Amino acid sequence: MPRPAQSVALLISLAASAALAAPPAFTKAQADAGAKVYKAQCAACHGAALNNGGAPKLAGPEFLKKWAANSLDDFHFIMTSTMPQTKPGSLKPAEYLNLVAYVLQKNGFKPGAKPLTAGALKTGTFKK
Amino acid sequence: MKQHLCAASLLLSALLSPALAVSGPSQEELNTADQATDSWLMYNKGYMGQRYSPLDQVNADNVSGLRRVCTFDTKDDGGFQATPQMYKGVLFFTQMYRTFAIDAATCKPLWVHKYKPAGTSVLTTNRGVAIADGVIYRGTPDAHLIALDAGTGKPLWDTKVADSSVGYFLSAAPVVYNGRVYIGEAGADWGIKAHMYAFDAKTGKKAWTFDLIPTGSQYGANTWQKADSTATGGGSTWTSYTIDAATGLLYVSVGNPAPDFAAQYRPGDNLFTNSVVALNAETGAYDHHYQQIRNDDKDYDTAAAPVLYDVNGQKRMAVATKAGWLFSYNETAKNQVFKQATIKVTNQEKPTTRAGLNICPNYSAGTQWSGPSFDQLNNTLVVPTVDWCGVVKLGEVRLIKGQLFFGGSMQLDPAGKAIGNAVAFDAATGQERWRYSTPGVRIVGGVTTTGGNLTLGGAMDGTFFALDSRSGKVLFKDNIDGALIGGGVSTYTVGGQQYFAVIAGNTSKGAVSGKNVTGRVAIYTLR
Ligand code: HEC
Repeated sequence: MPRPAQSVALLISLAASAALAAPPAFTKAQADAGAKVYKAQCAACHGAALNNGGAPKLAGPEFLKKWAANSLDDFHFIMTSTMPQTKPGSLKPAEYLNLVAYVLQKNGFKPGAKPLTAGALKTGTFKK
Repeated sequence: MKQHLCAASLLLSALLSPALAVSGPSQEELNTADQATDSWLMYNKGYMGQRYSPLDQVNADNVSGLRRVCTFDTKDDGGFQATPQMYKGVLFFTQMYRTFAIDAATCKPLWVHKYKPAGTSVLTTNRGVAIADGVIYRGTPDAHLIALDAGTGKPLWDTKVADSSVGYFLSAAPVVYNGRVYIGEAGADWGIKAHMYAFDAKTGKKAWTFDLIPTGSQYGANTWQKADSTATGGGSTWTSYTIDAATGLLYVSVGNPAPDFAAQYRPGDNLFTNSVVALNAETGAYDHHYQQIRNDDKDYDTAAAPVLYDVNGQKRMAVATKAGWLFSYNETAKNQVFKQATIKVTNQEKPTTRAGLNICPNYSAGTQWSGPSFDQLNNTLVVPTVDWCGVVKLGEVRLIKGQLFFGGSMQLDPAGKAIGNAVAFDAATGQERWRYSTPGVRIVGGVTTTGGNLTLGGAMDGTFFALDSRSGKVLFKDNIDGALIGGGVSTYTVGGQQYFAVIAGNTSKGAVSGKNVTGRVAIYTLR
C-alpha cells in the first residue's frame, strides 16, 4: 500500500499529465549543478560533450530518438539503477534529478523558473 | 531472418595488398586443429577448446629471449577481446564492426572489412571468427551473421539473426563444422530470450534453432514456473562453442537468467541458464546438460566455452564460471567429478536482498569470457580468474526496450582491490597446483599453454607474461604499451619459426573510464 505522501505525488503527476504538451520544467541552477556531477561522475565514459565517450550517447538526435517512447521517469530509473557503472545508485536523489536537468539542457531544452521535481518525471519526456 | 547479398558494402572492405586466394581450412584441418602447430584456427584453437599448442621451440629454458617483432595498431580504443586466429600465415581478428587480416609474422595489413550496421546495438563486443573453406564468418553487434572472402575481405552473405533494438547481439566467435556455422545470441542482461542456431555455411540459411529458454512442451519448460517470465528469460551465449567431433555433440555455455537479480520474478531452476547444454550438432536436438547455478540472482553466468579433455582414459568436460568455480564432468557417466573454487567465494547461497548483500565475486569477476586452458603436458587446467567483491541489491523490475533489465543493481569494490590470477588445477581431481596472482590488476584474457612448459597470458595493465607451467613462476614479461589485455594469446609457426600473437586493448568500450590505449596485436618470437 502506498504511503499518503506517495498518493499525493501521484495526484500531482496525474494533474500534470493533463497539461501534456508542456516541456519538462527545470532551472538553470539544477542544470549547472548537474553539469558538475556529470563532469565528476560520468564524463570519463560518456564524454565531456555527452556524445563523445565510449559509452552510449546522452545527447543528440540518436539519443532523442532512442528515448522518444519513454518517460523521463524511465530514463531516471535506468540512470539511478545502473549508473555510475561501478557504483549504481550511489548518488543523492537531488544529484540524479540535477543530472536529468543537465541532460535536458544539453538536448536543447530551455531552463525556466520552475524546478524539475521527482513527481514530474512520470509525465515528462524527451519529445520536443 | 532476412538475407541479402551485400554488393554495396563491397566498398567497405579495403584490400591493402595483392589479393591472396584462400581455399581452406578443410573439414580435415578443422578436425585436427586442437593438435596443429602451424595454425590457430578457432577462438579456443580447436573444437575441444583446449587452448593448448604442442609447440616447444620456445620453452621454459629460452623464453626469456622472446622479442616483440611488430605491433599492429587498430587505432580504436573500443573493446578488444578476440584471440588472433591464424591460417596459412595470416592472422584474422575482430574489433567491434571491423574484421582484420594481417601477416602473422610481420603485422603487415592485408585487408580490413568494416561492417555497416543495419540496426542499433547495446554492446559492441566481438570475440572473433570462424574460418572454413576460404570463408571468414563472424557475428555483428546488431545481431547479423556475415560471411567474408578470407583472401580479400569481400562480403559474401549477410543474415539477420535477431532484432538488435530489443538487446540481441552476436558477440561469440562462431564455429564451423560439417558445412554449418554455429552461433547463438547474447544480451540476457537486456531482457532477451536467447537461442542457439546452425546456419548453412554456403548460403547463410538457417538450418535449425534451439531455444535456450524452453517453453510449452519443450524439455525444461517446467523449470520456469511463471511462463510469462520466459519472454525476457535471458540465457546468453557470449564467447564461443566446443564440439566433440567423435560424437557430433555441440557444447554451449549459457549465461544468466533475466532480470539478473530479481529471482522471484522467474521462480524455478530456469533452464538452460547458467548451464552447459550439449546438442546434436546435426539436428539441434537436446542431448544432455549440466546446470551450475539454479535460479541465479547474482548475474553469475556460465560464460566461457567449455573444454573437452581426456584424463586417465576418462572423457571429461570442464567449465569455469563467473561465480568463481571450476567444474569437471565425466562425459561417459554424465556426472560431476569436482567443483573447485578458483577464488574467494562468499555469500553465494544467500538470496539477494533490498538492503544489499556483500558477495564475492562481483559480476565483473570470477572467470569471464576466457575459460581454462588444458595443459596436456602437465595434466592441468589453467584458469584465468579474478578475486573481487561487491554488493548486490534487489530493486524494481522494469523492462525498458534496449536498456539493462537488472531488477536490482551491483556495486563493485574499488578496482584496486581486485586480484588477477592464473591458477593451475589438477585436471583429474581439481586440486590446486600453483597460483600466479597480480594484486590490483585483473587477468581476464585468454590463457594459453604449450608443449614448451609455458603458460601465456595477459593482465589488465598491459603485461604479457609467460609462466613456467610446472610451477607458475614468471619467466618472461613485457608490457604492450600499457594497452589493457582483455584478449588472448595464440601461438603457431610460420616458415618453421614459432610466434606468439597477443591482443591488447580495452576490454569493453566505455567500461573503463579515462583515455584508453588503442587496440593492438603484438607479435613475438625468439631473436
Ligand atoms: C565506467 C563508465 C561509465 C560511467 C562512469 C558512467 N557510465 Fe553510464 N553507461 C556506461 C555504459 C557502458 C553504458 C551502456 C550500458 C551498460 O553496458 O552498462 C551506460 C549507459 C548509460 C545510460 C543509458 C543510455 C542509453 O541511452 O542507453 C545512461 C542514461 C547513463 N549511462 C548515464 C550515466 C550517468 C548520468 C553517469 C554518471 C552519474 C554515468 N552514466 C556514468 C558507462 C558509464
